[in-house]
Amino acid sequence: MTEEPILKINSIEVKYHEVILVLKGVSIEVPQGGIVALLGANGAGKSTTLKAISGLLKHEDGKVSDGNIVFLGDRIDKKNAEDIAKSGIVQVIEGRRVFEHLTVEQNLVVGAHLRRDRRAVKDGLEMVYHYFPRLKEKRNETAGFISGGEQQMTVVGRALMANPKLMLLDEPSMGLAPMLIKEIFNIITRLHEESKISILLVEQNAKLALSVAPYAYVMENGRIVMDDTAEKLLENPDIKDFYLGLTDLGTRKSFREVKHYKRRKRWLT
Amino acid sequence: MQYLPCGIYHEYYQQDHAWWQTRFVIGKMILLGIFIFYILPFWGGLYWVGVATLTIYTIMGALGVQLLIGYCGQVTLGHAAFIAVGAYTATLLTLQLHLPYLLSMFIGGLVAGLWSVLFGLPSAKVKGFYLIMTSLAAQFVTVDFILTQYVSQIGGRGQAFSLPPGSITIGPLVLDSDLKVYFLGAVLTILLTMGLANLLRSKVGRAWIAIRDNDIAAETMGINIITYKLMAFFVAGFIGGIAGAFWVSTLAALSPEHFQWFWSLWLVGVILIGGVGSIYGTIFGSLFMVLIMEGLKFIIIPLTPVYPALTMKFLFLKEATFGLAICLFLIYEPNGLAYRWWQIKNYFNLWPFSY
Repeated sequence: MTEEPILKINSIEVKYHEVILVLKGVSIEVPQGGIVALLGANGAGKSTTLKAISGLLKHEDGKVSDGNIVFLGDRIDKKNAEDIAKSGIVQVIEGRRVFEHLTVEQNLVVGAHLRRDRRAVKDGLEMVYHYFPRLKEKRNETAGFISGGEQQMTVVGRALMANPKLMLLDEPSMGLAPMLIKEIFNIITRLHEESKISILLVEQNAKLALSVAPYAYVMENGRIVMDDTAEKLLENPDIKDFYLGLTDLGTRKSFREVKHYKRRKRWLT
Repeated sequence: MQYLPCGIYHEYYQQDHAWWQTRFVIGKMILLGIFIFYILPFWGGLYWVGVATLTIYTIMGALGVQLLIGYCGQVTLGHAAFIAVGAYTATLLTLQLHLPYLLSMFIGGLVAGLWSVLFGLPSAKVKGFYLIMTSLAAQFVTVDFILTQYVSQIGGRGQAFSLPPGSITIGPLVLDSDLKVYFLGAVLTILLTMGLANLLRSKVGRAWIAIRDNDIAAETMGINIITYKLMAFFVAGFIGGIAGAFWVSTLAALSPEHFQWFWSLWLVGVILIGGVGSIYGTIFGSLFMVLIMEGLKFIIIPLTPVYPALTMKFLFLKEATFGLAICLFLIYEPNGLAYRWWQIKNYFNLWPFSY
């Protein structure tokens, strides 16, 4: 990482309701045009990190109480959500939040809310349909009635319509069939290669995430406990145990061993 | 352009977004126009013109409620307040300052819109039940306090503004007959409905629907939630104000009693029955409510010789029917009449092969 990273989080602390300390000094860098994965168990603070970046914390009475977030040289941790969106960060919220009474195409057009130019909106639509041909077939269908995978595509497509510089993807694989997950991840990889968007990917499925992202951070209990390139993380015995669920032989473990590893995990944090 | 929608392929966005896509639809619209502007007023008789005028007023009032509840997700139970603001502003401007009626109607709409924005401000912080409470505040503060205690005192008559026949004029045309009022209302309703329907197809409308469906996702798309919510309040208030200013032309005297809280509730009932989130729903709901209440009269009047107390209890019966209708609709057709209409249309689109 020689050039200036597009997003730099400097040891932020996030508190909810002024008392619950969720992030205890998290630092993350996303390089220009790179994909970075953020791994971790439930409750580790991954989604909170994304919300801190996109300014959605105030909906849950949370705030960044220490540290700062720098995006393209500007501090954004004090800005509100729609200014952050204007500066070029778009978050794909977890759980496929389509606008369910609008059609697929209207959903996409809402994504282009900040773009003034009609021409650009049309080009954006063409681009999204190019990446997600399935959405073109469904363009006039109400988004609440399409399948989960198509909804996820709609949501990712909607984020693309805003022409973002940085896309925050929160668990794109949640609740989808493995085949569809593969399709969506293939599209994300293609997208990244062709349009050079930087992506910060939050994912439970560590194997999948590490196959897409060349660099990853591992979070636990509100801290970054490890960060390395994907190859090295895949080699790391702890990661193998905790996130990939494999021993050296590639078999699942017995309960006794898991308990033993839990002890090791504590050491890790 | 073809007659029926089957087998049409759109090649341009313009075709895709056209209002009326087939000749069949245009034909229907022409028939509807003939019905509204010729058959009903000239062949229908004064009674039906009166019923139609009430329907028109209900449609205009309910449009604003539909926008707030159905399209922006901001539940309001105080819309009569904004109708009242429009009515009072227009009346005061016409009677005291002798402004032309249409101009004062427009100003009435603007004032009502701004008043609505004032009471929409809490929506930046609160949602759901608490917002209902603030909208109730709008009703009671505006109608029961400001209008009753202060505004009604202007001119020194105490309770009501008298509107003698002939006091409302559009240029040289004096609005003194039911028929003229009906025509004015029909034109206004068509303009407002088309305006709102078009607004809902635009960027603003999509932003409103996005806020209704998922406000957090809308915010990540860069939609300024507060601005758009207030914009919805303004437009709803404006439409309400126009409705109020129009209603003035049918009245002989204007008093706060025309805008009681029950009327706010009534408008919410109208869109519940018609269908939330649909312009059709507003129109069907208004038709249904007005016609049912008129039909009730025809049922009650023959019964009065047998059971004379019914005449005394008519008002009670009206409210009970209102409640019953809403209950039945929520249980059996929660999506309202508009959904039924949509199903019927789809059935005929596919007829005779149902899939």
